[in-house]
Amino acid sequence: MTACDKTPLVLRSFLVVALLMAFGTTLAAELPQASLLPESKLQPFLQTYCVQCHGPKEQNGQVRFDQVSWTITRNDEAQRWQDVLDVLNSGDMPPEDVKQPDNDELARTLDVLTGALLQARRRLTDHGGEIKMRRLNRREYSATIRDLFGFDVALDDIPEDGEIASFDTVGAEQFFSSAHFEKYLELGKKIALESFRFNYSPRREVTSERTEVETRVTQQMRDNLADLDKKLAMKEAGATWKEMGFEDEGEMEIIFRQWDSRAEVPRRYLQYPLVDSGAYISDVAKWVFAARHIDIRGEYIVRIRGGIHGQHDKLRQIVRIWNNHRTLGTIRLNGTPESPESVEMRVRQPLDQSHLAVHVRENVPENTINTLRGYLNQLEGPGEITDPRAAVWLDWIEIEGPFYPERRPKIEDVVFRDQPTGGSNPYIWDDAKMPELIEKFAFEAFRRRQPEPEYVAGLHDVFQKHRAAGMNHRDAMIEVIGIILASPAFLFLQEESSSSVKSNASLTNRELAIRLSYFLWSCPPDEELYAADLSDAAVYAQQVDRMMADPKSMAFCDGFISQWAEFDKYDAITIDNSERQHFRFNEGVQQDAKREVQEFFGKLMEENLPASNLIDADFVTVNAALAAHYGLDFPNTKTDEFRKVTLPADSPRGGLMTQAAFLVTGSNGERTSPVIRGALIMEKLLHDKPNPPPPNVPELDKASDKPKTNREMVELHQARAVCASCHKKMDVIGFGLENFDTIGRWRDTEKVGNKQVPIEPGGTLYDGSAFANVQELKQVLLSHEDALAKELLHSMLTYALGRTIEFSDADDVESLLAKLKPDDYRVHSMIREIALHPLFQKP
Amino acid sequence: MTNFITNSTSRRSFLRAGSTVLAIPFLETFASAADSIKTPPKRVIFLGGGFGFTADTFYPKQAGRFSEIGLTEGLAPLQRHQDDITMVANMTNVGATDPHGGSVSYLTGANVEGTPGKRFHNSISCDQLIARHLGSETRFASLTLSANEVDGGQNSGHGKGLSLAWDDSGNPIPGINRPIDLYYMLFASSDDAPDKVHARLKEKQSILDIVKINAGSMKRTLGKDDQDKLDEYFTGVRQVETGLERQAKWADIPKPNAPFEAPDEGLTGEEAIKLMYDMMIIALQTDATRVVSYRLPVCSLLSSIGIKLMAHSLSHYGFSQPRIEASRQRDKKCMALLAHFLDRLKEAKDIDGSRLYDNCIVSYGTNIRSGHELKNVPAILTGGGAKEIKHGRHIVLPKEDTPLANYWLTLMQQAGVPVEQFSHSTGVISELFG
Repeated sequence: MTACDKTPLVLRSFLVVALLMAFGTTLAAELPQASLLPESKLQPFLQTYCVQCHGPKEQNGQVRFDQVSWTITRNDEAQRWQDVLDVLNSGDMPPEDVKQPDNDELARTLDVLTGALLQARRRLTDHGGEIKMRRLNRREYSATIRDLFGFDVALDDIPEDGEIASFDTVGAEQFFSSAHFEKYLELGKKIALESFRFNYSPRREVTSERTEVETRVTQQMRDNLADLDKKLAMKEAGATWKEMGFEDEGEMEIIFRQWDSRAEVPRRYLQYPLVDSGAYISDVAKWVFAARHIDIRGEYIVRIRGGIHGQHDKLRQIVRIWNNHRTLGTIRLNGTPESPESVEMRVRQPLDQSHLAVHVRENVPENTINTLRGYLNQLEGPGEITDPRAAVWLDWIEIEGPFYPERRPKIEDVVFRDQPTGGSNPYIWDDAKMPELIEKFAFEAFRRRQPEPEYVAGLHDVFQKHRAAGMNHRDAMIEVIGIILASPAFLFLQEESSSSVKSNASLTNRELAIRLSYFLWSCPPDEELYAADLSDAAVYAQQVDRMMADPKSMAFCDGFISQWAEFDKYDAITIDNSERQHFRFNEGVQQDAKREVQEFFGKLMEENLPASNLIDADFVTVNAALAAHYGLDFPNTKTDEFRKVTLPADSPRGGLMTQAAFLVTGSNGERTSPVIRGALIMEKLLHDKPNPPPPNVPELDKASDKPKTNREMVELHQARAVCASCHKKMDVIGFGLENFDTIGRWRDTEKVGNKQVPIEPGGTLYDGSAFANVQELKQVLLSHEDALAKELLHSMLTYALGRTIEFSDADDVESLLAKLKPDDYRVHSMIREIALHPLFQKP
Repeated sequence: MTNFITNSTSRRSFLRAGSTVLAIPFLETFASAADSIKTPPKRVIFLGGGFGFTADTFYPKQAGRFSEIGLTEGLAPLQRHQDDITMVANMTNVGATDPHGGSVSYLTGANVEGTPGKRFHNSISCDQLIARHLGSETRFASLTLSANEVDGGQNSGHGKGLSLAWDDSGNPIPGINRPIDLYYMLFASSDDAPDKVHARLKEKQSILDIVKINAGSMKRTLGKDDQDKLDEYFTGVRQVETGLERQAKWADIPKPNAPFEAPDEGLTGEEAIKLMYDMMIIALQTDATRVVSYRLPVCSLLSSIGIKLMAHSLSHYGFSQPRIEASRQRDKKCMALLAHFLDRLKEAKDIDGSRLYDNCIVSYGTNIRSGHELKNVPAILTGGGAKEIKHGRHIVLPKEDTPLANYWLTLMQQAGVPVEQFSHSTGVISELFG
């Protein structure tokens, strides 16, 4: 078999005719979706290396390159070029027995062809600005339910959005299946049931419940110890296992073999001074907890009193608080056991979680659950073996609430009209009034769209049938509400006039209000927005400003930035914190790091700071746990809150790329990945997303016998032309961040073999600018501020419009950027300008 | 059938015991709608694994009979079945471009990113095509099994989609994700009394009628493109209806009684796979369906066998020796589970006393070879249902990148489906018949 026979079947199967067919006089410009490949850059390569076998003389594999069309107007044409790219990438072509391009030449060609093809494919998929109707995504569903019923739904309980490549607001990426329908119906009924538990009773008085944590810990430990001592005494007196009260001989042996940890450590614990008024978090008292039943319409304050026993690493002052479902947050304790302080955080619980059980423990990795000894040895050096080595002492936990929002949920407005919630209501238990109630509720659920009379009649019919079959009023209503919450007018954000070809078509006032509200708040409009005349530009602008000032706009901040910063990728990284170097990473830091990104972006919005802060900022937005992680001082806030902390002038931190979430995403969990970090910076900060890795490049061979630095290993990528074409661009950017380790802490050296080797963070970017360290890298990136602004604007527009930004949007994007540039692309202004732009207001 | 397992602890330990000690008892009854069936029908099973296998230790280096060339380390757990498996090398799913999407177009062959005007577009999967032909006489046209991946499809190596199956408009078909859900689908419960079923169906039908009123009035005011989106909703609702109609048709035919207690809700990983495998066999044996696809859990399997890495991290196994070892351990575990499945398939008796195995066509594979390679994908074929295929060999096709669609076409024809072409197929894999 000659090498040329290795041409893949697809490539071979397209005939010479096919390539010739594509050859024509049509100009790319005539067709909206056509692209032109850069002939001047590709033709010489093809001429030199390919035409000999695929040209006028021979047409191996029925492919010829001497008279090809450089225009791509159809997908199969793109596919043919993709096949060419594939054989070049895989090294199958040119075959070994003919003249070979050198690495640089091949790399250049691959780069050109890959880029041109990607653009051609994008053009082919241009949808000309059409916005697909969309379904409420999980975040919006939860916020919409909260608007209606006053409580959240945990995102995991909501039918899934599927894997979204852009943003969860893009309708074209969504789908709907029978399973969605069934799940929405089921969930709707669950919500209705919960609603009957809460929305029909008055708001509750604020009360506080305190749990003295030692009651569960100390007495039990004393009892256990007394029992063990008794057994030991019996053993010494010659008793059998049965007489001692063991289940069998094996149990006895285990207990006595583990005597130290089972009896002596608790004995030492009980010698701590304050065991009768609190608990020392340690191997023998791993965590403490408190619980109460709550009203999920309100917030609760979880308050903890305690202090730090002895002198410890800053890390050991942090406690982690979680409920049965998730980590709620971390807080630093500043007092001492003798002079404790109370600290607090606010908590809201979603549907089905009205039993709030909070657990508190030291913020250590969960994998230390069996014993803290190894962890503490790493952190503080070996200690006395029998000492429980506790740092955190806790006095009590208090849960106080509920604290309600100012406005009650819509369903309570409907049911109780002018009455206070829980007062007399005109509907309840009155079957005759059901059609009216159904209509009024559906109207709100449908975002003020009148339900069809037949629809209301149908629902009433369902209600009556259930009543006739013996169902009680409440359960019959649950069935009805369940159906309303699975109806398309609730689930879909529909705009009646959308996709109309009429140039004068516009959104109705209601539709525009809804679009604006879901953009900035991820939930339905409020009274004032519905009532505003949005066709009046001044009124519209005033509403935009009001909405952006409302705390509900955090929904935009969190929803946008968590997707833009690709938290899904971050969540998929497993940090190997069983190893020596990453033991400082734990479940608390894991979550705090994400919140840092949200709080940071929130700060940019709140203070209307320039977008360039994403590249470099003179502050970070952190809580105590992250401040400890970064080695920064943090004020005593007595809460879990994040604060803006000004950085020392020489600090390498500041900006998105020195944040732990970003740095962890740019790792493989064990080591840093300059490749991923570089690629992320190119995509997010330079608006130059590297082409996806060609699929069929084999894994790099594993490290040779000689230990290499991370940088040396990554540079192996550049030995192969296939890899070098992209890697030489992105890797060097990643090298600039090598002083940040896998979990985002600063390091001056890395371990190579048995030696600590200094990090070499310098390099030269592909545009020729050199940098020696991360500070200089940031300076270089700052000169590309326009690219960052473009990336941010593209992404925000995609999120806001619910569609991807295409070639056809280029003029609008440029005009927006031109408007924002003189004032340094400020973030708040950018969001505002998007909302005000005609692009946002047209169907 | 007695419920000899009375609590969850002993049930779990019994599941753990696997095939060697105790196993889920198979059922005696062959509850088919058509009592006239005397010869066993053909069954087809597709298993999809997400990320591929370790390049050096999984794939055979040469062609030939396994009894002569031996099994690689990764395939070694299949030793006792080595004469009943076929492995085919040099096939590529030509449309696949997503190096994290082992399952997206695995059974469809579609170029999902290549449709003008659409960012993503898939086509019907071959299990669904087969179900049209083999699924008309069973309670379920096909069973689509899957698993929740805690960190998403991309990170598990499956890619977009909810299962291996896609409907004829290219929409993902949601899978039955938990063993407990499959359990309640397959086995009789007190809610199955015909009058209850009919009442439920009637009630559901009225619900569908109501939401259709709502959707219908929306539709009149929407532009064409948005109507497409609303049609998706209608399609979803119609699928519910079709399911109801089928349920109604089968309401009077009792489901088999469960031979064991309902599994834990939260069962995942290795135990979940074993149980799904066992219940699949019961479903086939009782003729509840003749077509099954299963998108195997990846992340939860790893954690259940003590591998702390996420699946995607593990796919880059070349980074360190511990990762390489974990990757090899994963390979062996997957094959051990497949071997277990084959054990059970051979134990189960079919309607005529033959082994259920003799009437099944079983395919195991993914779009991804190892790491992120989309060429020369893993393909393991077993089961006696493809009568013309002789097992026990590693076949290396002469042409690299032979379309995977050719393989599906071959299997569809072996299953008795009258098709001449599927996706981008260019013919059948004649080497399988050699």
